Amino acid sequence: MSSYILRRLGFAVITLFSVLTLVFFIVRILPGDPALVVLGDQASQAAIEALRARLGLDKPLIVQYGEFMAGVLTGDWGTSLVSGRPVIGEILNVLPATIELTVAALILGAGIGIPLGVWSAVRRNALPDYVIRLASLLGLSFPAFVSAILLLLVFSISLNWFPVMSTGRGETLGARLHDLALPAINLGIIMAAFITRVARSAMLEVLGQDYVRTAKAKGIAFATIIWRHCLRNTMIPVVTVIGLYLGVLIGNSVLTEIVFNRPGLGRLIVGALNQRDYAMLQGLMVIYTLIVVLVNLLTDITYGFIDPRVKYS
Amino acid sequence: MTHANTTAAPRRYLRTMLRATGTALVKAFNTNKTSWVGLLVFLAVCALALLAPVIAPHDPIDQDVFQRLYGPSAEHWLGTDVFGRDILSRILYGARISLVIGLVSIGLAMLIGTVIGLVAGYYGGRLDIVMMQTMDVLLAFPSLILGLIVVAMLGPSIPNLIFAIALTAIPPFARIARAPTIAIKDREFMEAGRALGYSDRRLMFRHLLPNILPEVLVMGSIWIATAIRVEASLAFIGLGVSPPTATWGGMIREGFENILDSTWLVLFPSLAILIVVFALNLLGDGLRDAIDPRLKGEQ
Amino acid sequence: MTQPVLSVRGLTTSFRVDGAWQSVVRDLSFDIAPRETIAIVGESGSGKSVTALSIMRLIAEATGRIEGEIRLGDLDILAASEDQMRDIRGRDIGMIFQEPMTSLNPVLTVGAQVSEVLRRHRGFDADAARAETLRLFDLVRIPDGARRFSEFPHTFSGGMRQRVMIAMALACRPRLLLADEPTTALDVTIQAQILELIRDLQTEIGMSVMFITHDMGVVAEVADRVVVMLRGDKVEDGPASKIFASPQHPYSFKLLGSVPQLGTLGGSDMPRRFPAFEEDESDPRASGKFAAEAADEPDKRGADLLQVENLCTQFTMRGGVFARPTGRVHAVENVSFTLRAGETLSLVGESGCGKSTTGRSLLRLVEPSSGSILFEDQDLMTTSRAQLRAARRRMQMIFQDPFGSLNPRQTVGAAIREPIVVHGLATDAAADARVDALLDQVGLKPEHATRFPHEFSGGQRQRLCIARVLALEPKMIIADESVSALDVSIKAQVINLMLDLQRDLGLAFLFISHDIAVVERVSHRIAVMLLGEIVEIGPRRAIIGDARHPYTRKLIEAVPIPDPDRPSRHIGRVTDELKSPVRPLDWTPAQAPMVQVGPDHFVRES
Repeated sequence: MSSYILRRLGFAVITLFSVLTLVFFIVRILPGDPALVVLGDQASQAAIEALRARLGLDKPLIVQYGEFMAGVLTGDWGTSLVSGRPVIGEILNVLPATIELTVAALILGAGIGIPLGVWSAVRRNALPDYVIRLASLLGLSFPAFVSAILLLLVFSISLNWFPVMSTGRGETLGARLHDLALPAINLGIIMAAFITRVARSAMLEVLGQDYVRTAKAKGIAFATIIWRHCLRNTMIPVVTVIGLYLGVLIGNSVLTEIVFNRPGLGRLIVGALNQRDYAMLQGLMVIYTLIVVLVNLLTDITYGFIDPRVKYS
Repeated sequence: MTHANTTAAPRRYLRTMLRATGTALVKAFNTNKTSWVGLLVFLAVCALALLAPVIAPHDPIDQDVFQRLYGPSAEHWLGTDVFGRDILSRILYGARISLVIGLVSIGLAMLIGTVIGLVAGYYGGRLDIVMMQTMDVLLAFPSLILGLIVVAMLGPSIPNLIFAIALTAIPPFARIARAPTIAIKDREFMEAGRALGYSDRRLMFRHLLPNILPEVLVMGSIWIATAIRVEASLAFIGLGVSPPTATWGGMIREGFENILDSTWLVLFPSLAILIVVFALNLLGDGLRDAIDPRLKGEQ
Repeated sequence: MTQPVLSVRGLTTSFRVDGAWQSVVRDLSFDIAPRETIAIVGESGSGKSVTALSIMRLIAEATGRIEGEIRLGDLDILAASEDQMRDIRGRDIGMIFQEPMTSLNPVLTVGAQVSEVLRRHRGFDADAARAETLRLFDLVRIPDGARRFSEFPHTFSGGMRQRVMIAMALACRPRLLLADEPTTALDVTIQAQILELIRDLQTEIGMSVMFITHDMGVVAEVADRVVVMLRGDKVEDGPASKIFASPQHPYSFKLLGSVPQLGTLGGSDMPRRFPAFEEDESDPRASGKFAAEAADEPDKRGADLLQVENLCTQFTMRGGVFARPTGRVHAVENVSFTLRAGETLSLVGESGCGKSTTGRSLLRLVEPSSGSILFEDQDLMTTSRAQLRAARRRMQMIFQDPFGSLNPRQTVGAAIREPIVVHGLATDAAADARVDALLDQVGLKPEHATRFPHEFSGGQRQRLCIARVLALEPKMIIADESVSALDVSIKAQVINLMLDLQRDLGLAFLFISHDIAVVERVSHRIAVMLLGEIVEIGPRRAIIGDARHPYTRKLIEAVPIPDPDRPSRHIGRVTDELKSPVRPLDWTPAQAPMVQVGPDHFVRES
């Protein structure tokens, strides 16, 4: 097991390193001088030169790369071109709100999706199965901002149950949850739709396995077969897919944060794009990379705990 | 190969490949009737988009300051927007943008991704590790963020959007193509082919490709849905094809500012996105169930 | 007569296929007396497995229907409630399956899986269940049970997994054991152990056994009585000795007559065709008769065609954090042999002995590590890629799974045509004529060319594969377990086809098989492989009749003989495992020399 974790850790470090390199080059390879993009066409040559110097763009590429990597490691992610404050500080300021949102969505998504998927598979081709399949497919068809707007229209504007704006703050737990509810439900339902489908097909595959027949031949009750024999096997692909879903989840959280005007990385990135805050953008890409690599590592390790075959391979 | 065959071979190849893939897809369609519903709705949307210049009641860009924010009426079935433009006409024209971006970007991603997955899976070893590790790195990065940044840097035009979305869809297709490639490449008919002295290229493109193509095409329909969603999302954030061109995401973005009093501005384009995406998902999902070899054999 | 343990009357099981009910078992009746072993035999699709599942009522109700009467003692199984059935399954009726590799749950320890039955049916608590499970492990001879209790199935070999399955099935000392092809997936020496284990435990527990198999040798070993099934119908039943001595129904007659029986060729040196069965092919129920035992094949052996010397093929195993090499699989170790034109040399051995890797190494489908392969005086190890491809044309290969060997998306005509075109052997028009001729040569019709592989039966598919390799006019064919997956009557026909081709075209065969009874029929010479090495090689008659190496003897003794009157063998309480050819990195083979013990007969000193 420890060798497996070490190996996954090794892969994580390699992935981190390559994505960071990719981030560095994406920002520099894409046409358009960042300084020119920031300042606009009318800027004077001197101003552009000054900004280039401030951003370190006048140095050779390899030096820039070294400084970038060193900066990432030491926590020096540059200063925002707009606010003049350290990028890392601004990010850490809103990171908890985004994490709160995505974790809530994950709990909702898995909590709803796995039972529904399993139920759907067990009742294959019966009414619940058709309803669940159609509903989950519909859920998957919503762009996150469309569903967010609909939730906002119904529950905040018409019914007035939840605030129109989500502040991401709140003194008491109740206030915080009230504030979080709609954005989390929005992300959670879309994720649940996705997990339902994965859990269903994984469960169907497991139900067709020989060892389920063996368990039946042992006289084990059906509920026990599902619970003891099938669920853990079903979780193997589900965990992998939840890890892969993270990218979608992050994208959806950006849209959700915009619609509910909720502080978080999503609003930060849109703000940075609008204001051409190039340093902030780079910092955001670094933090996204860190999150993705970390979560993938976690899924890999979880996977190792669920599937005993992994330890030995 | 003898000379007599060199000219006939490509045509024969294409014919058998299309025939085999077609048979598999038709069979899949017949086992899953909901796919037909999805296909018909999608084709209807395509037809409406193609005919937009003929059937649209108004010009999608012409502003009319005297008819701003009108609700649905006989003159404007779906109402007008803040500039007095006809929503129905803008939705019809918007469909063209969504469909073009969705189809072309996924077509490109499918082509490149499938070749990458096929080659990596077939040869295996170091090449596979390097290629798939690269794909994983790309896959690891949230695609919407990558799309955002690429479009923001390049500027919001149709080709740039296609490029950005295709870029994010290549890794999944490489994965989609690689999995069955690995499963099939060690099947006995591949080994038999090697023993019969067939070249790698022949084995990959004549024997392997037809076997994985149905799966890739089916996933394609689901990914077109995803691409349309991503395009709308980018437009909603403000990185779609620049105004005043009508895009569904852009219409929702503009309508969102008047959401309190003119909900139809948001509702109708939302519905348009939902219908297309749902139809494509219905189509692809039904087919996928029908061709998924893992789900066969159970009673 | 005492009351039977199980009584089946008029059993008809149907499945709904595309909206219509299709019966898979029809009007089947039989009884199983206490302590009796009944064998249900038949070829694939005869409905024998469905019979077992019907008795357990494990047919999905939505898509399957069981009619008739099944009585377990006094209990009407088909009228029992689902709760009653769950009590019966695992307690009164135990069941073991064909695929030990997939029949155990990969995420639960084997101990937990066996304990589960005890806790479910005998009300044991965790500790008592554990103690009883360890006793059962001991009973089924799983060594080191206490340690293996908490291990997961993937660390067990196939034979060991089947022992776990048996422990599970017998945990509650059931009245009836349903064994569905329990040894089919196992090697022959392991099969002998498992059969003996089941027999011993049957005596100890005093249960009845319903043994499902297609292997007439196994039937003769275990069965008191036999039920012969054909496409869902029972065609004959009776005491085993009677069925074997004088089968009444033409199908039983044909089935038994097609079984290769080890040692029947006796003093002959040449291969011999199976006696052809003359019948109306459209109706296997109609009577037919076997032609007289065929004459030996003529000796048409020519000069040396293939000379293999010191062939080694190794695979490196990697593991750990940095995927460092941790060991090496010595799949083929210093293998040398020659093959003459028109000759058949068989490579026999159990799984993992390297016989298939040897075959693939010759064609360089896997890359050998060292050695020389001299084929038609050309060294394939040092030759260029182009020359290798030309050589591959003259040395062809057919595989085990005839369905897997044909591209499912290609018509069979295109499949046979493709090698002709690729190697430029004929023009477009001539190629089509050649395809027709080849189909005819393997006993198929030209109109078959436009069909897809799934439209053919297993035996026909193997004929197609043979036609495809014949298209290249090879001198030699490597047949890797090519008839192993076929039903016994089809097997005989394909073997006869191969012998005909050898006679007509002067083909040499390297016949790779684990089935020694078949090997005896086709071979001029036999080489026995163990752990990557040839341990004995010589003329067929000498190897079968006068084996010198202990492993060869063990292998031959383990082959079940289709003769129920032969006293059952006792190999004792053996739990051999097949050894693994995985070696540490610094391992150097210490190979004993081969010594000559007879004309052309060599054995490795041990």
